[in-house]
This record gives sequence, structure tokens and C-alpha cells, in this order.
Amino acid sequence: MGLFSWNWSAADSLPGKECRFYKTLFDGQVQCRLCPRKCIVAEGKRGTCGIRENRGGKLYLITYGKPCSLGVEPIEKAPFFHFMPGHRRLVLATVGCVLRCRFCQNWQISQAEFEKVPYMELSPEQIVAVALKQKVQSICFTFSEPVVFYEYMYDVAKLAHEHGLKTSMVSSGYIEREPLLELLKVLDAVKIDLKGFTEKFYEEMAAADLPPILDTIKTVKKSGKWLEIVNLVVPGHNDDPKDMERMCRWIKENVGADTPVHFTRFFPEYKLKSVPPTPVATLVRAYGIARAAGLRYVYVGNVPGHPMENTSCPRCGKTLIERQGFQVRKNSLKKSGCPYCGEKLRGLW
Amino acid sequence: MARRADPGVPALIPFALILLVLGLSGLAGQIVLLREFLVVASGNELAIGLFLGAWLLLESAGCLLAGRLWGRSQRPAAVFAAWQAAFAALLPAALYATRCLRELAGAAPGEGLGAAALLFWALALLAPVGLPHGALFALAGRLRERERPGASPAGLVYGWETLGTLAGGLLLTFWLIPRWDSFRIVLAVGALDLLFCVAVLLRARDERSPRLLVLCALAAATAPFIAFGPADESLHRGSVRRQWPGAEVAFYENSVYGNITVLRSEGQATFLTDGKVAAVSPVPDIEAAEELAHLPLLSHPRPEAVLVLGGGAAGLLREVLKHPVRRVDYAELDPLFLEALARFAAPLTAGELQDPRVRVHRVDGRLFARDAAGRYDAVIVGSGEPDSLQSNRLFTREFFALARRRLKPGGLLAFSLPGSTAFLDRNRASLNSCVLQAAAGVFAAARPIPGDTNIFLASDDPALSGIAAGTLARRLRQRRIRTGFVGPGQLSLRLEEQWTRQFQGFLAPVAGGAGVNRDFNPRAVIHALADWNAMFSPAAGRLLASAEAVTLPRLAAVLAVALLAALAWRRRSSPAAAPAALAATGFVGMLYSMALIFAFQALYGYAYLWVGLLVSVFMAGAAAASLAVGAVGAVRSAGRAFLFLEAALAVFSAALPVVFEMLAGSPVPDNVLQGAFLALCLASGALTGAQFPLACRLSRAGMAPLYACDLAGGVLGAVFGGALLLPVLGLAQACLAAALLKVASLVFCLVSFKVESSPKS
Repeated sequence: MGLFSWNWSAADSLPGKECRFYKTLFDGQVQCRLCPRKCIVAEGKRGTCGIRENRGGKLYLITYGKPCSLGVEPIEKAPFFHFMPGHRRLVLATVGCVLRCRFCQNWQISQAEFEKVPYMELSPEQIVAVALKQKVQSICFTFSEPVVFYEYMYDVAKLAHEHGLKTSMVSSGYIEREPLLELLKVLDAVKIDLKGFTEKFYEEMAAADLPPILDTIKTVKKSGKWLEIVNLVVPGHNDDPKDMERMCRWIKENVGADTPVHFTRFFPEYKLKSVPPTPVATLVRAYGIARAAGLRYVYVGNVPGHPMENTSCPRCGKTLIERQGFQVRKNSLKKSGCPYCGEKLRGLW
Repeated sequence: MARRADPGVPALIPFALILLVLGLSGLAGQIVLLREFLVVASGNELAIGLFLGAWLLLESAGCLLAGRLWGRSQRPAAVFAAWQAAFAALLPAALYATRCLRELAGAAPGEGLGAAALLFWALALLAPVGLPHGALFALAGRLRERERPGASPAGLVYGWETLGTLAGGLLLTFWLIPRWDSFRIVLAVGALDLLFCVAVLLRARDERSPRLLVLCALAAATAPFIAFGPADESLHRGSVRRQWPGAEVAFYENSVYGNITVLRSEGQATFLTDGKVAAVSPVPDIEAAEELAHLPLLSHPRPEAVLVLGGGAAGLLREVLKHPVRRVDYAELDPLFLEALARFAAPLTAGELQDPRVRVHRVDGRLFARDAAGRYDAVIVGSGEPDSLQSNRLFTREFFALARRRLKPGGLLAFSLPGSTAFLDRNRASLNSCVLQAAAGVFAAARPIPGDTNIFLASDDPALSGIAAGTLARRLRQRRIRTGFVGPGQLSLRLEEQWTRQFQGFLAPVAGGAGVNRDFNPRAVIHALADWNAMFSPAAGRLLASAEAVTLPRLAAVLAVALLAALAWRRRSSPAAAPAALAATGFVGMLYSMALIFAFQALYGYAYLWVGLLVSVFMAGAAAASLAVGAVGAVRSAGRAFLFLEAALAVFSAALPVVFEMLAGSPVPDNVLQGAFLALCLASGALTGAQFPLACRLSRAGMAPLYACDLAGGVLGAVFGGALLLPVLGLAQACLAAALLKVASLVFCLVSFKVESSPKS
């Protein structure tokens, strides 16, 4: 790998780490309390995520210290547009996910069996050391579903904070309230993939349900941590203007007009091989709906060069941050203010 | 007591014509449904093997079942007509159901299907037509037996039915597909079938089936009105709408190369070839187009002449034209695709294709690269990943050698493969590895630029490996190129050492087993298919991924064990010998067909155009040989002739790869080579077809079970041979495996036959 060498050895080469949120049941079974699935896991079995295993009546995170992805990338790729624009982050992921999205971009690790994927052996101390050596400004937990490697993420994030690094998570938001509140203590920014705004979409396309995700979004906002929301617009599946309008209104009413919302373009991916890419007009329409709903920071994504990928002042409309793909071409913000009208823009600048 | 047809009454329709129609309608149904099935399978070629396997299996089951149930029927004409009418009626229904397959399978609109689901649904959809069609073969034999008691109908039925298949292949490929939609074809075929139902019933004057006769006559009279009236249009449109729910289907046509569909939505046109997204306008995949154009062209100090092979329209050409190029040759195979682009032109596509510097060539990219007179500063492979034999032709070692000859000094080749900065699994790593090894074996320098899509640059200029991001950024600035995605920062990120090291880390564990991607050993296709199945059918994906364990010595060992076991269990004059040999012949016959198509595809790239002709000539050989052997009457020693054919098949199998290699390296003109392909098809068809009537003489099993054995061998040949042996072992070793199989069946027959006094000779 780029920074460390791969290990192809079997899953039981390391013991993993005991999970923090689970309950012991009878007959050696345990119930995971990390995500809303609340899997009941029998002895020797794993939860839906594929990486939390019942060993002798105790639940273990088997990917603790075993990331399969580690690299340095711009924060815009997440996309995070109001979180220290242009900075480089260390990205980190292990195998596993509780959702079954048919359009997953990282299905090779999110849907894979742990034993089929090579990994590196890196303790939280080593991860932070890498981050410092690479001179990144933050560590970002992303690619698969960071919630499922909770304990590892928590320990890395805690240590990162101790070393002055920022931390962020890119997640579906499928997590219980208690572990989330605990986690937010060590995170600075959270990006939630709000995949759609109907129960039907979540059920059919992701094998999940919507209410817990909305709860997560509200909890993140209440915690004061920086929140951005991404909605991947899949043609024919979640592009109904009425649903988009409901979603935007909900966002404004529950987490405020200052929460950045990204409508990103879908390209045929994973199981949705024959679904056309999202028409740019659909994204522009979504942008219009969001702005009409009162949201102040709305973006169109995966359309490089589109003016709606730039950050504009919500008051005077001047372009303040110009982007080209994942790069920040120009940043005119003065501290957090618009140099033209003085408006303060929300974000972690 | 059985009544017999009055020999004094001349038959209204010759029996041979009934068989011809039987063969023709079977093939028409097969080709039409296969093409539609391929669209639902998003162009995945694995579907072809699964489809053909399912079809043969069902035909075989239908034949066997009919032989059991109606082998002694006293009313064979009525039964035949009833089944033919059922086939005619169910064929359009099967077509409609195929277009609704995603819905039936519970898949989301636009979702692909895995191998297991495809096999299941191929069997389910084809059962209503494959079973009746197989039954008709057995019933035709019974019909003939009753008309001419004592005469063996096997050669006649097999021969004329096969000739019908030949006629169907030619008619479909060269006349019907370019002119009619799929519903019109199957309805017209159904009308023909119903007409012949009437003929069969009228012909058998000793059988009285007035109701059936009226029903068939009415249906036959109605079907043309449906086929050529508004009902056809509404069936076509209705089923296409269900195939693409929620989308506006602006264009849906079949060319000889495949299906082209255009979906429109909110000003965007999406062009799909065989159900797979091939181009989007007016806003393309900007990231992909910019990276594939600018990374290679910025790596060249002065690109003036550029060759783009496939996938150029809707994005890539626009980016290429931003450089100071003087000439861009763009080769695109399917004229219908270009026609669709022109019909739904956006400023993007119109600007690209009408630019005076661009010359569009309606030809296969590989052939263009072979025959083009010019030399280029850059050759860019714009077509997608090598997930089919067609697309793989631009990613093999042989192609890279060809491309190298087309490059000017300092020129470079560029292509892309699936990548990921997060993780590259074993299948994708193997795919990247086998193609990279093929390029590295030809060029002095082959440089991967890993990312979410991996871009590869190859050149004989070793300086290519050392070009830095700064140089590319400087050239971008000097050429005043405006981009949406590729800028100095992105170039710097793209060329960071961390990605190269990570990429090497992904490839290291698979490099040994991934192989080198070759024309006749398309490793990339098997890795791409394994990748596909990892998404949809993880179990099938694992099976394909572990296919590397299949080797020729292992197959030989398995065959040896099977032979010893068969010999240990045999009885004297074993009745299993001829059926087993026939099944083995069915297997190698299917393997020959697929190997010939495979080799033709590798060399010429337009096998879809020629597939009908190649298969038809193969069938013609089989039919002619079957008829000839059948007409000889009592071959004096059927056993010896059978054994001779066994030996001939073994020798032919072993010689085939040598002939292919000679053809590939031969400097003779294309038409001579193509003639040689047709001759090979004819010879392989004749060798396999001649055995059937001999087996009928040798075995007491009867025509229907023997035909079922032949088809069952064909099933295995399609699934195991076509989908596994050919891609995994490559052409040469797969043919050698066929030779070993025939040697085994020859030994089995030699030991089992009482050669001098075979049962029926």
C-alpha cells in the first residue's frame, strides 16, 4: 500500500477489541446496541455489519487496528466544502457496513467479507503518527461505514485530538443515539449521506430505514459539531421534486438553513449498471428547490466546473470559494467573512 | 391398429419443408430472445453461455419427454401441430417476459443481474419455448416413422432441421434484424409455424382434428395482422416501457452489432449499447473524459495526430480537440450508434463530430489500427473496460504490438481500467495486472497512473515514466486549455507517489496468477466477469475467481479417472458407449462453434455480424453430413465408421489451435482468411453431424434420447466450455481439452463396441 504494507493473514491473527455498546443475553447470545439494527448475535457469529463478532459471549470489533484503506486526499472529495477548504486529510476505513445500498461506490470493502480483504495492522498511535508525518490537518473516517468500526474510530479520533488534529466522519448516519453522543465528543465534522427522503427508497435501495438517520442528523446538529449533508440523486429512484422539497424543508426546520447540502450526480455504479447518469438539469432543479426552501449553502456535485460547485455569499451572491474538481482554485474568504459585504459564513474555516 | 397415411395421396407440403420451418423458427426464437436477454444482462457475455446452455438443456428435456410420452402416439400429426402452435403462441410471450425480466426478478429499474439469477431466469423464460421446440424434434421423427414405417428418420430429421437452422441464421442476420423489431420477427415466425400446423394436419388425412385445424388456421390468419398492424407497435412500445420504467425511451433499435437504446430525461440523452451506458450528452462524465484525454496528451510535448479507438463521442473528443492537434481519427464500430448520436445531437456531440480535424471511421478500432496508413503521436483507447471479447481486443498484447507500430517516435498509447483509491480487490487487481503485463511486454515503458479510474500510458520512450506533474501543469497552461476537473492541483494529486505504491501493493499478490492478456487467452475477460459476479452473485464470482485452478493436466487427470470408472462399470456392448460419445461430440461441437466465433472475434471484432453465418455454415456441415450418412442407408459397419469419426474429432480438436495460430499470423488477404474460417466451420460441423445417424444405428436408445444426449453435451459445452475453458485456458488449451475428451470417448467406445457385429449395422 501507499503508506504501509498489506497483510493477507486470517481474521483471527489479532483479537480485535471488545465492543462498547452491546448487551449480554441468555445462551451466550449478545445484542449489539451500536446501530438501529440491534443485531442479536449468537456465539461465533457476526452481526449484519460482518465485523462485530460474538466470541465467548462477548462482542468484539474484529477490524480494530486493521484498516484496508489509508491515503491522503483533499477534503473536497468527501465532499466537505465548509470544513477548512483545501486542506489535506488522512482517509481511513476498514471493511464492513450495515446498509446494502445498490449504488455503493465502495462496495468492494463495504460489502466484503473481512477475510477476503487484505489489511494493514496499525494501532491508533501509528495512525496518528502517519497523519503527523504526512502533515495532514485532519483524519477522516470514510469509504465504507465508519460507524461499524466505532471503537477503532473513537480511539484514533481521541488521540488525534490530543495531537491537535481535526477529525471528521463520512457516514450514512445509521447509529444509535448513545454511541453517537459519545463519538461526537471526539469529532469535529460529520457528513451524512442522506440517500433519499422516503421509507420506500431506504427500504428497497439500502435495506435500512429513514427515521434513525434523521435523528442522527438532528443529534449532530445539536452537539454543535459541523454538519454537511449529501444527497446522491439517482434518476428514477430518489429524484421526485416533491420528496426533494420535503427533504429541504425538513433540513431547514430541523438543522437550520446554514447546513450545507450537496446534490451529487450519480454515475452507473455497483448494481445499478443501466441507470443513466443524473441529468444536470435535475441537479440544478434540486438546487433551486433547496434555495427556495431557504437553505443558504447548496451545491451541485460530481459536475466539475459547474458554477454551483463554488461557494457564494448568501447575502451578496459573490463567489467566495472557486473549485475545480477536488481542488480549491481561489478562496476569497477573510477569516469567515465575505470580503465584499462582511457576511459571516458558517463553517469551520 | 394404426392407420397409415395414404401413400397414394401426394403430400401437400413436403416433409422436409416442415422440418426446415421447425429449424428456422427455433433459431429465430433463439437469436431474438438472446439479443433481448443480453440487454437485460447489461451486455454481460456470460449471459450468452448461460442462455445457450439453458436453451439446449430445455430442448433436450423437451425432446426426451416427447419421446417418452408420444414416442408411439397414433396421432403424431395432432400432437405435433398442438406443440408447434404452443411454440408459436408462447414465443412472443417469452419475448415480452424477457423485456420485463428486471421487474420479474425483483430488481430495481436499471439494476443488473448476476450469473445465478440469469441462469434461473433463462431457464424460466425459455421453458415455454425451448421445451415445445425440443418436443417437436422427437414428434417429427414419430410423424415420419408413422408415414414411412421401417425407415430410420434420424438423418432426415436432423439434417433438414439443421438446414432450417442455417436458413434461419442467414435470414435473421442479414435481412430480418436490420429491418424488423423483435416482436414483428417472432410474430411472423409464429404465423409461419401456425401455417405449417395447418399443413401438417391436412397432410395427415387419417387423423381428424377439426377443432385444432380451425384454431390453427384462424391463428395463422390473425398473426400477420398482429405482426404488421398497430398491435405489434403497442407490444413493442409497451414492453420497452416496462423494460425502462420511468424513462423516456427515445430510440430502441437493433443493429447487427447489438442493441442501441437512447433514454431521454430533462434534456439529457443517455446512449446505451446492449443495456450498458456508452455515452451521455450534453454533459458527459467530465472527470473520466478529461483524465483520459489530458493525462496522455499533456505527457506528449507536441501531439498533432491522435487516434481514438471507440468511446470518443460525447466528451473524450472534445477534450482531445483542446490540444493543438491537426488530425484526429476516430474509429467507432457500430454505424447505428453514430446514427443515434447524430439523431439526438447536442452541441457537445455535434461540435466534436463536425470538427474539420476529426475524421470518423465506421469500422472496428482494432482493424483500423491494423490497416491505417498514418502514424500517430497518441493512440487513445476510449472504449470501456475489457469485459467482453469484443472490447478485450483493444487490451491484448497483440493489440499493443499493433498500436506500437502505429505510433510515431515518442508517441504513446493510453487506455483506462477500473480503479479505486480506497481499495482494489483481487478481481480488479488481476484485471489491471494482466493488461499491464501485456503492455509492459510490448513497450519500453508502461506507466500506470492509479486513481478512481486507472489510466495507463505506454511508450517506447523511457522518459515517459519520469514526466512530473509540474511538466503536465506547465503544458496545460501553455496550451491554454480550460478544464472543469483536470488542473494543476489535480495533476499533482494524480501523480503522487502514494497511489503508485498503493497500486503496486494491490497488484503484488495477484501478479503471478493474473497472467498476460492475449487475443487467444483473454485473461482480462475472465477477471472482469469475476468482478461482475462479485457484485451480483458472490458465489459465482468466487467460482470464477477460483477458475485459475482449472489446468489442462488437471482436466486430463479428471478425464482419466472418469474413463477408468466408466470402463469398470461398463457392460459388454454397453448401450452407454454411443450416447456417451455423442454427448462428448455435442460438447466438442459447441466448443468448436464458440472457439471459431471466439477466434473470429479476436481477429476481426465483428463476430456479431458474422455469428449467424459462422453458426449457419457449421450447421450446414452438420446437416449435410447427417443427411449424407442417413441416405447411405445401411452403412456396412456403422461401428467402424463411428470409431473413425471419434478419432477424426480428436485429431481435428488437436489441430485446430495450430490452424488458428497459422491464420492469425498469416499475411494473406482477409477474404481468404475469412473463407478459411468458413471452411473450418463446415468441417467441424460435418465431423460432429455425421455421428448422429450412426449413433442411431448403433444404439437401441432411440432417436429422441440420443438427440437429448447430443444436446446435453452441447449444454455443457456452452456453459463449461464456452464460459470457463475458453477464457481460462485460452483457445489452444481448450481445444486440447476437447481432443482429450474425444480420446477418452474413443477409448470407451473401442472397448465397449463389438465392432464387427454392432447391434444394427
